[in-house]
Formats: sequence, structure tokens, C-alpha cells
Amino acid sequence: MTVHEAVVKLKASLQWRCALRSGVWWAVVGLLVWGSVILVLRLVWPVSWWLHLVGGLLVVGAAVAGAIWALRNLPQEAQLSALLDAENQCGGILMSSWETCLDSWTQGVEVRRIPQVSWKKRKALALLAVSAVYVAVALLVPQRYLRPVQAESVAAEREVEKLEQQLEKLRELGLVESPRYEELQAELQQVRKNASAQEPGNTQEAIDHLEQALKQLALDALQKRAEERELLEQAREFAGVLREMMQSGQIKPNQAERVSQALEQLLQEAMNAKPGDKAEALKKWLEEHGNDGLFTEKELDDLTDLLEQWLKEQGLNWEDLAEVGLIDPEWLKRLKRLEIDPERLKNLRIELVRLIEGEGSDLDPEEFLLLLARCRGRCGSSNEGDGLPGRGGVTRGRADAELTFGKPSSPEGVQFRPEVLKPGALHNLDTLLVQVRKVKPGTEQRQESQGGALTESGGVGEGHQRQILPRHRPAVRRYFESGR
Amino acid sequence: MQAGLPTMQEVQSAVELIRRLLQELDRMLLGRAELHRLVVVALLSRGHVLLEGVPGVGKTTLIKALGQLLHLDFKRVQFTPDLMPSDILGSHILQEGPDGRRELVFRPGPIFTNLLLADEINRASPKTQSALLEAMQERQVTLLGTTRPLPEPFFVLASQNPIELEGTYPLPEAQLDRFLFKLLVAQVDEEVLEGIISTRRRGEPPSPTWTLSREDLAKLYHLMERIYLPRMVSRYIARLVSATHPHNDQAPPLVKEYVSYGSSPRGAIALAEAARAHALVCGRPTVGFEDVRAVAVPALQHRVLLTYKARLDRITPAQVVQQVLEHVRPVPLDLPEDLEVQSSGSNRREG
Repeated sequence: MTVHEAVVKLKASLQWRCALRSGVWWAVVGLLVWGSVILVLRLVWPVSWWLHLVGGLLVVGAAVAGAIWALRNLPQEAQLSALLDAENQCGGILMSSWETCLDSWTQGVEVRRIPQVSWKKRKALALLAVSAVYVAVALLVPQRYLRPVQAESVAAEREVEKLEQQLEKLRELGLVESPRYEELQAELQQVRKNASAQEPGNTQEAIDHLEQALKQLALDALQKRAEERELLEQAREFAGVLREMMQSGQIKPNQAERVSQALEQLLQEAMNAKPGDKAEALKKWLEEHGNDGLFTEKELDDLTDLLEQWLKEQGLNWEDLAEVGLIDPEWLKRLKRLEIDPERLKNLRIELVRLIEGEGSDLDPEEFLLLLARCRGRCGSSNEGDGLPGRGGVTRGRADAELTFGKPSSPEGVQFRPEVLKPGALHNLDTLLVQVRKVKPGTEQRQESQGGALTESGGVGEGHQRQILPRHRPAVRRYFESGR
Repeated sequence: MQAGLPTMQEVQSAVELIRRLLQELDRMLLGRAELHRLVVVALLSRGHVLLEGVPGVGKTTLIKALGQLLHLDFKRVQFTPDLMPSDILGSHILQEGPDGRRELVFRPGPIFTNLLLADEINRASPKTQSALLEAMQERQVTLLGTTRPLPEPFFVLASQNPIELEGTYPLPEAQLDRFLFKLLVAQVDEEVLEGIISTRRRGEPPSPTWTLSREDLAKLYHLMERIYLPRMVSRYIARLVSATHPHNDQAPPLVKEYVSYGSSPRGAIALAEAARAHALVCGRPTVGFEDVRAVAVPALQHRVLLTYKARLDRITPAQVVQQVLEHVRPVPLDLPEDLEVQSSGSNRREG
């Protein structure tokens, strides 16, 4: 084999191995980049999966570029000829023939041994497989495992969802008007949007504010419904008592007329408190039957039925509000007890009878109603009130807290420990001699004592100076140090 | 064909001359074939040789034999501590002329010769040793402002004794650097000794049966000028010499640990010249990597300055140069690590 043939053969052997090796390595890099880009894209900006396949072109391009780069960086032919020369121990003849014309010297020179080029490809192929698996995993991993990367935020999602649920429940029960509902909805969305971790305090504050607003809405609705129901129950009992008294002849006609007028005003108050279909029906009934100012027994029967129906419809599913956390479960129990408490209705009836038979007989309807309102507070089943805010009762507020008298609390840090002072100098019982030092006799005026401050006394005009402190200073110091 | 490149016939005739020269040397001095070969390489390179060996191993005999074979003027100077530079270079003496006028006349010293044997050179004072500097490098002598060229060719073949160092003056680095080779003359084996005893009854070598004429020597020198040094080989020499410096990236561990100063550029020139001569001795018009490797140790070992730690660890300059040869690849392909160029006939790997 001639020198040129050997060099060409060695070069070819190097070429394809270098190109293959470089292509594989560059493909590995391309695959790793591709897989990473897929993951990042799927994390921050989910796109269709087939768009990711375009990255495959990147890998192919990288492999081709790597192969081209390797081919361009192959050893020069002069180097290969030198390698052949060294391999065949030709003493420089081969490599010199590449640089200069040796003519007769190269005749008969044969290249018998060509170095073997080998590529340790195990590592490269293993990495190629790993990177391919990486790309496959990046492509095939379900999107649910790849949560979109967002700015770090406060975990306010659950709270906002709960508040939205509460708002929807209020709307469903008709306890919130449309403008207020939209306003609260907008505020909730704003909280959800601005729930950044940079100002978590603001987010929590807004959530608390909305929670309080929704609870206040529920509470207002609760009170309003309770008042409406109470008015209706009162009117119903009022009508019942009046009918019974008319039947038994316990009431005089003039008294019945004034009481009827008071009943009519009470009905007007109830209608104003709760406008609606039933209120309209009651209004129409009153227009038909209440013109003469005195209800008959039959009319009172009809009125009782009418109010009974209204009360049935007045019922509200308080449990829904309790479920979404808008009202306290304790309140729920009390509300139920309020609805079905026969004792309270009985008391109300007794109060009405007393009112009609007693003071009410000589009062005009407005004064009668004022007395009736006063008797509302007395008609409770117990001294505890009905347990609702604003309804009174001694068990509400701080006053109902139990007074316990157990072990006495430690006086440490609270009060002075008595200390018996030692007998001091007679001229100043409240001071303690701290230091006596020699000074130049002066003529300054004597300084006055400044309470617990460091004071100087004596020494004026003398050859020594005494520094004194209040005797109780250690006690004062212990007192303040105990607070730390 | 390039004009300067020797023809095959020219090289063959030169090789024949060299072969006969070596044959005569081997006949006159028994058991020193490799030493003779390197001395001839040094002669063809026009380089000076420092022979180091214990007394009685044939250093002086070798140089004498060489002088006889080359038909060159030969002088021997026994270096002693009281030897003065004028004892070597020559001096001016006052001489009365035929006309009765007295004038200073230069009387050449023993350095004015072709082949100077500087026996036990390390016994002379540094002053006297330094007198050889100009002569060895520039092949001329300057005295009282007058420069006188030395005869052509001019070789210094010095010898020094590695033992009995008391009262000696180690050669300065500048002078060591001027020697092309430092050759270690070792003891001969028993068979050679037996041959010496039986054929050299008084220790005198036999007379030469053939001598190299001055014309033939000139031809050889002329041929030496035309030996081609490929670029890759010169690059290899450059990398070898660079690798003897401890701060070089290519330096092997032994160099980094034990070498304080590496070879000078003069060492690289000497190595290239010696490689050329070695190629000619081998009958080739071009220098190969093996020529460089063959002469690297004698050409570089005295140019590498070792540290005191090397002396304590008994590391020799030859070991250092040998590791440099093993460490530096002749042809760096700059291939990635996972690509191997493996020798088909050996386990040598390039990567």
C-alpha cells in the first residue's frame, strides 16, 4: 500500500468514527435541551404535544452539525502520514514524502501497518439512550403532574372558594340583593387575583373582611327574619286572643274596637316589614274587611288562617347557612327552639290578655302597641332571652362569665415584696452611702435629691465627697428586672 | 527532486564509510559498540562530547583511537587545579627577531588542534574551564584583542570522573550546555573483559587498519547538511524540549517534581543535529522519530538541572529524559479521549 493510499484509508477510518461520535454527542446535548424545553413549555405555557415534536428537528440538526464540525476538525494528512511513519518505523521517509519530493527514496517503501481507530462508544450510547428516555418522559408525563408555574402565592384559594360558596348560598336564599352580590363577587375575584406572597397580610385581611361582611349579611337576614316572624306570630296570637275574648264576651265592644285598630296597625307593621305576595294578599284582605275598624269573629278566623299560612312560608332553612359556615351552629339550635317554643307563645298570650283586660282597655291603638312592644321582652320562656344578638338576657356578654376563685395568682412581678429597711443614717433615712472619695473642697450649692436618681449630698466645703443612692433602689431594680 | 536531498548512492557510500569507521573502533576498543555509535553521531554533528566514567574504562583510549582513525591532529590536556587558561589557549612571549628587535609573539596552546582531549576536565578551576567557552561554541580564540580561528574540524572530547569529587569543580551549566552529548562510560561485562585481557596485554589498542581521510570526513559533513528534517519531527523535538521544563503543561510528573530547569534552545538544536547524524548513520536521508528518541537521552540529560530532592530520591537525569520520551507522543492527533488510535503491531495508543 502506498503512502497516499494508506493516508486515505486511515483518514476515512477516522472520518466516519469522528463524525458518528460527534453526531451522537451533539444529539445527546440536543435531546437534553429538547427535553428540558418541553418540560419548561409544559410548565409555563402548555401547548399542543405535537408542537413539541418540532424539537426533534433540533436534535437532527445538532447531530448533523456535530458531524460536520468533527469532519472539519480532523487531523491533517501530514499528521496522519507522520503517524503512519511512526507506526511503520520508516525513519521519516513517509512523512517527508508528504512534505517534499523524495523520488527514488519512496520507491519500494510500503505501508504495511495502519493504526486501528476505535471508538469507546458505550458511554455515548448509554447517554443517548438516557437522553431519549428523558425526552419521552418529558413528552408523555401527564399534564396534571406539571402544575403551571406561577408566582409564589398565598394559599388563599380554599378560603376564597368557601366565601364564594357562602355568597352563592346567600343569593340562593334571597338574603343578598343583586348589586351587593355583584360587588362582593368582584371583591372575591380581586382577592383571588392579588393573593401574592409579597403581601400576605393584605390578602388575609381582605379575606377576613369579606368573611365578616358575609356573616354580617347572614346575621342581618337572621335578625330580620326573626323580627318578621315575631311580628306575624304576635299578630296571629293577637287575633286568636281577640277572637277567644269576643267569643267568651270578656271584652267590651269599645275595647274590641280599639284592640282591633291596634291589631290592624300591627298587621300594617308586619306588611311593611315583609313586603311580598302574602303582604299584598293581607293588604287586600284588610281593605275588604278592616274598614269598619272592628273585626268579627269570622274575620278573625280568616285572619288567623292567613297569618298561619304566611308563617309557614316564612320558615327559612337555617341549616343551609350553618352548613356553609355563615351562622354559628349554636344559633341554629336557638333558632329552632324559637320557632317551636310553645311556652313563649303561651306567655305572649297571657301578656296579651292582661294587656287587653288591664291597661289596654283605655289606651288608643298606638299606645296599646307600645305596651305590646314592651311585653315582648317579658314573653320569653326564661330569663336567658332567645339567645340571639340584641335579644337581651343575662347569659349574654361578659357578665355571664363564671367567676372562679381558685389558687391565688403569683404576686411575682405584680406587687412589691415587702422589705424591711435597715436602720440608716439619721440625717437621711431614704439614702444609702455608696462611695466616699477625696475631693477638692468646693463652694457649690448643695444639690437637691432627685427622687430615685443618683444624687450627691454632702461634701460641699469638705475634704471628701460621699455618693449616696436611695435605699430602696435595689427593690426598684428588682421590680423592673422581674418584668423582663 | 529537491537539490539538497542526498541521493541513495551518496547515502550508501556514507553509510559504508561510517560502518567501516565503527568497525575499526569496535575492533580497537572492545564491547563499546553503542558508545562508539554515539561518538560517531556526535562527530558527524560537529558536537563536543563529555565522557563520564570511572578511571580505566577506556575514555582516553577511545579518544586516542578516534584521533588515529580520523587522521586528525590530536592533543591531550590533563586538567589539574593549577592549570591556567594560557596553558590551554596559548600565550604571548617576548621574542627577539633576527633584526634584534623584540616583540610579543603568540605561541598557540594545545587547543589549536582538531581533536582535543580534555582529560578530567572537572579538576581544573572554573577560570580555566571558562577559557574553553568561546572555543567550544564559536570555534575561535581571542587573546589580547586578537581573534584566531581554530582548525577545522574542532572537537573537544572531555572526560570526567564521577567519583573522587573532592577537589573538583563541577562544570558550570553554560559549559555543560556546550557539549552535544554527555555519554556515560560504564563497566564492560565479563566476556569483554576476558577479550581485553587476552588480546590487549599492555592495554594498548591495536593499530588501525583503515583510516578515514579528511576528504571523506568533509563528504560526510557535506552530506549531513542535506539530511532532511520533517516538520513533524522538528515539532516533536520542540515538544520534547519544552516538556523538560517543569512549568510546561506537557511535562511529565517526574519533570514537575524533580526538575528545576529544563533544556535550553541549544539543547533542541543539538537534538535535531544529532538526530540528523543518527539518520545518516542509519542510512536514511530523512530524520524519523526513532532517530530523535535514539539520541535524546545523551543530548538532553546534561541539560536538565535536577533539584536536591532528586538527588535524595536517586533520580537521574536520564530517567527524567526517558519519562519525557514516554510521555510526549510523536504525533499528537488531538482526538477526543474516547477515540483511540491503536497500533496494529503494538499496544501503543493515541487518544
